[in-house]
Formats: sequence, C-alpha cells, structure tokens
Amino acid sequence: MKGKTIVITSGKGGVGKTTTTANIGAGLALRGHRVVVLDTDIGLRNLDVVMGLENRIVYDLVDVIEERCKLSQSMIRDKHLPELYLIPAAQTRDKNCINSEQLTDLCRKLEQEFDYIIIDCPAGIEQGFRNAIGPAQEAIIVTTPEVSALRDADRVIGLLEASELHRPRLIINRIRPGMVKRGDMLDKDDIVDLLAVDILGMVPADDRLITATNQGIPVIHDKKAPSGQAFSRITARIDGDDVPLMDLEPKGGLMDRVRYLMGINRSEYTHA
Amino acid sequence: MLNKLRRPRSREGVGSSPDGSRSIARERLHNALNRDRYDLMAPEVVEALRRDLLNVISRHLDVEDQFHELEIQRMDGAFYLVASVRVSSLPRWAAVS
Ligand SMILES: Nc1ncnc2c1ncn2[C@@H]1O[C@H](COP(=O)(O)OP(=O)(O)O)[C@@H](O)[C@H]1O
Ligand SMILES: [Mg+2]
Repeated sequence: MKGKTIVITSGKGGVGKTTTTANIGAGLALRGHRVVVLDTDIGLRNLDVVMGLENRIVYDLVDVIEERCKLSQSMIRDKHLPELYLIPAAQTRDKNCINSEQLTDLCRKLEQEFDYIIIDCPAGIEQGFRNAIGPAQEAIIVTTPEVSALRDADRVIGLLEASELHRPRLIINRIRPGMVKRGDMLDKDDIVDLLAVDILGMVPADDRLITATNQGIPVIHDKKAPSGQAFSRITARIDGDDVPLMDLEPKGGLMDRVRYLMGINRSEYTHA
Repeated sequence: MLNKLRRPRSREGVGSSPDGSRSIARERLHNALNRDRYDLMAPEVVEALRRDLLNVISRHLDVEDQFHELEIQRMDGAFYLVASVRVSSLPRWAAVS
C-alpha cells in the first residue's frame, strides 16, 4: 500500500488552511480511508484545537523528528473517526528547527501505512512553506475571493510549479453568494480567468462553521452546514469522484432573504 | 454642494461601479498579477523565448543569431514584448502579383 501526501497552502494567512486541512482529513476518513493530518505550523499550532484534540497532546512533530518518541506515540487518534490521526506541531520551537528532508522521510514512512497524509502549511513563503511542500505529491491552495489573497495565491502557484508540484488546485473559501450576485465580490470565472488555475471547490462563508469550530468539531460532521457540504464534495473530488462544480446561490426562502437584508446572514448560501 | 457630498453614496459612487466593486477588484487584481509576474520573471524564460523566436524567424528570414534587443517593457501600466534582430540579408520575395 502506498499513500499520497497532499499539502494545503495559501501564502496569505487566515484564509482557511487549517480549517480545510481538518475537514479534508475528516472527509477522507469518513470515506473509509486511513488518514494522518500533519500540522507543520511550528510555533503557531492550531490544527489540534480546530479538531478538538488539544488536551491529548503528549508528543509533537519535532519530538518525532528528533527521535524523542516513536512515530506511533506522536499520533493522536481523532475523537470521532478511528482511522484519522493528528501529528501536532511543536509550540515551543520555530520553523527552522526541522528541514524538508526530515519531513519528507517522515511522510514516506507514513505513506506505507496510510492512504492520505494531509499537511497543514504555515502562512508565508519562507522555510516553513518550503518544509511543508517538500514531501507533497499534490498541492491544494486555499484563498478567499479578495485581491490580496488571490495575489498571494498566484505567487504560491509559481513557487509550487518551480518545485515540480504541477497543476495545484484552488479552493475558494468564504464566498458570499449574495455579494457575488450583487456584483460586489470576485466570482469563480474571474479567478479562473486571471489565475489560470483549476478549481477544486468553493466554500461559502458560514456561521455554522464557526459554531462547529468553537466546539472543536470539523464542520463536515454537520450535515446541515453549507460549508460542510462543500467540504464533502471537495473531499470526493480529491478522492477521484467526478462531482460537478455548482455555483453557490443565495438561499431562496423569504425568511432567509429578510434575515440576509437585516444582516443576519446565517444562511447566505446553498451548494458549492 | 450637498449634491456633491452625497454623490459618492449614490449608485455611481466609489464602491458601486455599474456592476459593483467586483469589476474594480478584477482590474486591480489583473494589474497586481501582471506587475508581480513581470518582477519575478526568470532569466530562463527570456532565454527560452529567445531560442524559440530565433527558430521561427529564421524560417522566414536570414537573421543574426543574437537579438539586438529582447525584453518585456512596461509602459503606462501595460506590457510590451520588444524585440529587434538584425537581418543579415533579405531573401528574394516571391513576386507580388
Ligand atoms: N468558510 C468559512 N466561514 C466562516 N469562517 C471561516 C471559514 N473558513 C475559515 N473561517 C474562519 O477563519 C479563521 C481563519 O481560518 P484558519 O483555517 O485558521 O486559516 P489559516 O489556517 O489559513 O490561517 C478561523 O477563525 C476560521 O474559523
Ligand atoms: Mg493555520
């Protein structure tokens, strides 16, 4: 058995890399795969809290790389999915304390036992980024539909191509379909046009995602959440299913519109 | 006076061009990407372009194997490929009928 390592990256911070890593990891495990999610944001670890596993950390990524523990000891089993494991980042070290070869060795070992290794990349394009993309066979870029995030995404695509990670795919996160409809937000076609990149999926801005994250549960477990549904479809595409891209539509119901006009945009979305 | 102050809030004001702020964002992203890509262009890209251009041109014209000038220039926010190459000798053109 030979697994696949995928890096989740972005350039700009705060666009949804960690959220995406947690949800894709859970999504692949829900589909019956054995999955490890790896937090490489050393010094700013987050994936553990997003997955609700922060109280179970004993060893971390740097411990395993520096051989202070066994690989199996550094892996924390998910609360909901027995085939999903987290290797947390170290909090007390910095991004230069490991290198790309060490991380690549680790991933090659994990690939012997797992179907997917999903790497949460730190923001920026420095050492931490270089480390995280080193082991990957595929790259997914997360962006929001804003000029600054897209510009950084374009820069990262160039760097990935230069590192032989060809045809990275883009997730557009935090889309507000109502704003797109009003002509106040860049849409998928603008982005494809200007960045010339394949779109892996679109995720709406979703209050339910925040509620789920508050509880340490990836939103993909919330069947009613539009963002969770979007992540399910994205996961299916990663796993090789041919799921068509749907445009996000503001919900049609009168109450939704009233809520939306009042600024209570609980459900400004449906499919992705 | 009052009108003038109010105008920016109206439909034609800042942030609401005919189809909203999207077209402004699109234009700005387009320019930023071009600018970045221009700044980051690798020398190998120019080298590959030089080779390919010379190949194509020499199918039609007898030219020197060096460009006199070959670069992407930026003028008034737009980008131009500027190339000039010395023609060694002109061929006898097929007669214009
Ligand atoms: N689709 C979304 N809808 C609402 N909030 C979101 C969405 N995606 C991300 N967020 C929130 O945005 C913040 C940044 O996300 P995070 O995944 O930590 O980004 P990054 O890892 O790229 O820095 C978090 O508070 C997260 O809950
Ligand atoms: Mg993060």
